[in-house]
Amino acid sequence: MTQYGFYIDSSKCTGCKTCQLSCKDYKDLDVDINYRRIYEYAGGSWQADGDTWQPSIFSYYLSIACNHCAAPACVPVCPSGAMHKRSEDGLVVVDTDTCIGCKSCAMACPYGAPQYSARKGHMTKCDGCYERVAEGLKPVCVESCPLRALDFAPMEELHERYGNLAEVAPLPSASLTGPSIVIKPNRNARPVGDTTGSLANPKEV
Amino acid sequence: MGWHEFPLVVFTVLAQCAVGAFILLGALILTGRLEEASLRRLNRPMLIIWVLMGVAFAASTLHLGSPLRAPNALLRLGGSWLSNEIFLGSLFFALGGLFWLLTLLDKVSPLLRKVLLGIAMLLGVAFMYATIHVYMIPTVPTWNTPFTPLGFFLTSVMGGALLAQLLLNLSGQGYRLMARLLPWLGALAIVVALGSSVAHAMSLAGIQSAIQSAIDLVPHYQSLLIIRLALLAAVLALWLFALRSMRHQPLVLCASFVLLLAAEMLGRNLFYNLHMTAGL
Amino acid sequence: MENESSNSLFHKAFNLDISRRDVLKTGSAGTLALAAGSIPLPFVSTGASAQTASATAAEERVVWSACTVNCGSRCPLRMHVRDGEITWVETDNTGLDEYGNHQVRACLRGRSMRRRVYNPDRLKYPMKRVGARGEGKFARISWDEAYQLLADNLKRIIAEYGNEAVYLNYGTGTLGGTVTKSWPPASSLVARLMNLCGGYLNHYGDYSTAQIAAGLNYTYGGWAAGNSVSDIANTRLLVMFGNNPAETRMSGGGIVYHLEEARQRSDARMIVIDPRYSDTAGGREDEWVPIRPGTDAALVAGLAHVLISENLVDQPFLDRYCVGYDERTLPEGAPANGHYKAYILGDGPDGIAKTPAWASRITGIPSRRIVQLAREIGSTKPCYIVQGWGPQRHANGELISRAIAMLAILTGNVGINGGNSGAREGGYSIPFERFPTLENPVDTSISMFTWTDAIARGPEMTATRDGVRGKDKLDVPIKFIWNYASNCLVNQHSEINRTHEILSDEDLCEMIVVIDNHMTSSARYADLLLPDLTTSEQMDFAMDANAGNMNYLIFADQVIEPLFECKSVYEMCSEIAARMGVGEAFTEGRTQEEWLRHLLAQNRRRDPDLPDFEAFREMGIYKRQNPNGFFVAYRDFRADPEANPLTTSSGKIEIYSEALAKIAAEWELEESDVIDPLPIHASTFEGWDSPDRARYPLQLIGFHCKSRTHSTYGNVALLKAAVRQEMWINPIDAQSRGIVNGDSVEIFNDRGRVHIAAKVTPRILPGVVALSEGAWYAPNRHGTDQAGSINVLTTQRPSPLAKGNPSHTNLVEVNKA
Repeated sequence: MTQYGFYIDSSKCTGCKTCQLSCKDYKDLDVDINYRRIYEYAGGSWQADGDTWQPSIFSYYLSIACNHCAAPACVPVCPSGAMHKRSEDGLVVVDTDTCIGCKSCAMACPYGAPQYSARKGHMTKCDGCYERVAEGLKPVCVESCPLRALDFAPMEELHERYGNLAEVAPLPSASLTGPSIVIKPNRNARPVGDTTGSLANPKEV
Repeated sequence: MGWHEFPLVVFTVLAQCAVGAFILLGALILTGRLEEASLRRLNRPMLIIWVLMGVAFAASTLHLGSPLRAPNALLRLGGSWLSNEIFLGSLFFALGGLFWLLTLLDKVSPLLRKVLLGIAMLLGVAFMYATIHVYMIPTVPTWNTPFTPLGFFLTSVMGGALLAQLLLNLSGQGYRLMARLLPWLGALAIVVALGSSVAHAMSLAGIQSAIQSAIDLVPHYQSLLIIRLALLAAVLALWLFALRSMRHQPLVLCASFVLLLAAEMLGRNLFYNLHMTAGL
Repeated sequence: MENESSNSLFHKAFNLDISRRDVLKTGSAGTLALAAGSIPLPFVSTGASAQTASATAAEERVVWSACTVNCGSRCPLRMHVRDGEITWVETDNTGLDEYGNHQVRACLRGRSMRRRVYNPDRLKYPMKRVGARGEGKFARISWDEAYQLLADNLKRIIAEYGNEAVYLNYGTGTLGGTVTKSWPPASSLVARLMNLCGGYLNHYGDYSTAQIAAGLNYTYGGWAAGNSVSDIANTRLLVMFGNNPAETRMSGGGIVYHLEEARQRSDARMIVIDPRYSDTAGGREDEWVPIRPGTDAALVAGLAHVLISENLVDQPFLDRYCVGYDERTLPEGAPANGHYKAYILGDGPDGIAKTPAWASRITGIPSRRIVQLAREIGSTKPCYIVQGWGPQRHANGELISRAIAMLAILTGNVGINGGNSGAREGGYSIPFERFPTLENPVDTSISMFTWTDAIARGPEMTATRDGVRGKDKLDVPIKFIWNYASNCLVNQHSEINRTHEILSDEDLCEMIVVIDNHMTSSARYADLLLPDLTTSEQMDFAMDANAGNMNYLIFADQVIEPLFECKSVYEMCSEIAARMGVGEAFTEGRTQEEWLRHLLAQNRRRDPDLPDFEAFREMGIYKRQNPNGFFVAYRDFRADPEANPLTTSSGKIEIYSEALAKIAAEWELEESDVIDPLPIHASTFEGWDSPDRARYPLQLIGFHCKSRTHSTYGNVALLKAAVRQEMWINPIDAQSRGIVNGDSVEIFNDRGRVHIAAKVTPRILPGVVALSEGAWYAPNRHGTDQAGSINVLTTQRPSPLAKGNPSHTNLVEVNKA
């Protein structure tokens, strides 16, 4: 089986959210559904010195969709089998014709990927644009990135090109679900498990 | 504190109380050498168990985005604990209900009914076991703790004992040994619940992700917890009071049970509000 | 929450008929399955599959269009159309996306164009005001009525007050077009129309660059050019003063992308000087130097002190190319010790040495960092010193813009590869002659920022007090306003409450015509409201991108039929021209498409490499590399200053400007307004050291919100949710006010009050709060804005020289709401 995955270059990412909005346009999503979410992780402090200030602060963005995990947390909990991992490309997809909308997958996923649509009555999530991928195209978000900070390819290729890092704060440990992602960390990046920062944009994700 | 999972609160609390009561009364039926008349007297108010189960299942479908597709929940039987829970719960409901109906109508042989009862009791245990596993999700650190099975088990014991007491009382069999043992069981469970709740609250301090601390999940968690524990204390007080004063016993027990449901639903809602993942 | 989504945004937005298919889909699929008697597992929604099947049956077309807003970039959009409706928005997907011949990728806003076209706020038919002005009450009228009403009033006002009473308000809602462009207003079709009708009151300057344009005009002569951003590939050190392309030039073919690619090639160190830890920094900077707003000139003076005293200045460059650095090149008429070096070393009239310690107290930057920074800048060549337009958008911002350029001048980085003039980055553009708008017979001009004054007290405005040009004073107030594709009538002009008062008086300005797509806060103040087409509904060529070494032209084709009764600005102007008796002169007998064919043919005669109309239409985007390689500002001047003099009066870079010395002596200025022959630091009203800080202790600056271009796209619900309107505040300032992240706060000063959520973030200097400009003004019944519109808090007091908007010079207090 080919396992496809995303490359996320957090060193380039300026948090512009074009990936999120191009996806929302292509997939025709409602305001409150974000297949791709951009997390702003920030922290640090300021020291006053007379009339002057010295900052020691950090911030960076992580653009996260569905990581199409090797051991997805969403799939085993699904009672209808709607949430499934495709054998041909390893993409984790919800069969919206079968899903009962019990939200178990949303409870289990540590990346916030499956999202319940009240209007549709079932779960929705990033499907890796598998139809585009089958045509040899990349997902819409990847092709939209103004800074070319996203990529999408079979995991072997991503590992070869970009290394193996799949976790950085505020993401959970990669050992939990085996996310199919490779991250190039921002220079400000904090290691996974860090708690010195906070999510700066909780209402935008 | 949100009530967005209220359907699940109702489902789990009512089902756990019903299963607890059924197993306790089932044990009495299996071991108590009840003569036919007593059995049938006891059987009649046991309808309440099935009413509670019905309400529980009805509530559970309200949790679904597409209730009409509810049968799809069984598609991953054996694979998904939620499928297992619904399957075992339904089977428990069906076989337990069948036992009740056959007893009511006095059909088939008593032995066969007892076999049916035994199977239903085992299914009840399995149902409870599956419910616990639905929430033991490795990526949900606030649920994936021993406090989850303990809490669910205690709801079954407290609720089951009090409901069994009420049913025995309604059937005029409050004189039985079991009826005298139940308050002790309930009291023990409530004391354990008091202690474990405090321990659970303290354990939350150790759970955090990069962006979320478990202790920040529910504003006023401690106050809400104290309300729940106070309710449980009141449940016990009413329960014991009911057994001492013989007047209006069913009414006072009923009130106690309602308080218990309130306490457990509050506690269960706190549980759902404590949902967070290890990540985002 | 507004729900914009469905397969038909159009139907949803405008509550049109819902097809039976949709009812089936949302309603009763499950019930139908049950009714059929068999209960197959899994239960599926059959309506949904039917929907998909029928949808694929309709053929999908792809039509090139463009995003024509004022972000400084320009992006092609590939509109996917089915059944006459846009289904989704793609962007440039041509070629292999190799840098240099890369794809010009639209940002989040362009990708949301569909929701701007099919927006519930769309103006649908002509309307005239029926309530009080600004109340937002309108009645539908026919186009005929609208044209007649407009022409009658225009004729009446011209007859009564003369053409100088007619004003074309600044507006950048439709930018980069050929037919449709709204900016500069003098290049718009409205200007062509007015020029045929006797002219109109001109304006100079713009809300983006008023102070730098005026200031650096005296340093370099004319608009100060900058090296191509691509030239950062040739530099060793990049120093950014308030330059933030990641939030202002976000196109994937624009400045932020060029910056990233160029830096990858040069590996140049990047120093970002900004009160906010911007997204341009965000881990990509080598050093972030947070600075108090409005104090950049002080920082430069402190840096200059180190450069001069440690002999790190390029003395031969200063001697040969510049005027007024020291006594050697000081003009004759200048006072002794009137030169820059004396000013810095403390030998000038103020007697203060601009030491790092002096600068440190003003800027909030530790002295040792100033020393380090100066040594690094002085010893690294080439060094690309560049300023964004934030530093100059201050009271006395002209001085700041000139001061920053001093750093490039002192170090001799002007006119070389990898260096820069200290102005904003430049680039290459393909020459293309646009729609001819003819000559304005009226010479009189005011600063674009003073039009509210020109309404309220026009005849009091003079050349030396109010910057009136072409005349000593205005003779008539503004009586008629054309407001095409502009939200500057209210939202984007400073001090909204004052604007409201002036516009509310219907005896002052007698006629306001608004031509726009949406019911903006400005549109609410119209007397006559004309619904314009969006770029998707008409044909045009789009250009004017800031795009480094690779420029391009976009064929923005007509994607869909015009919605409702909307008409193109070309058709409107043609019809009005006819009623003004200049119809034929206006159209010259051409339709909009015929004009485009004509203009392209004309340009092809001059530039045969341009594609022909049909080929251009097919390719959508025509790209061209700068044939001369990297654009280097003032390269010729550097090579031979005698043969290629600048357009300043001396022909050289004027550090000391005699022209400014003259203006400073002649003009009437308010207290604390400073015009000076040297690029000095000067305190300002509502600055960091203003006594007003006792009452309003926080400096408020604006910035660009990523989900809007100024105010454009500000009504798209998806974008509003993606990047929320928030006020940035440092945790230190938040804590002392009991504010936590997400709290609703009130920001206020004497000019107004705003309610908005607080973003408590370490990414901003303590003592400073920031609110992105452009949110759509939404007052409650007490007049408190609920949208976070910064211009409720900004002032209409203009800067001294440019008479421009000091949008970032504000003092406020913030409380938990």
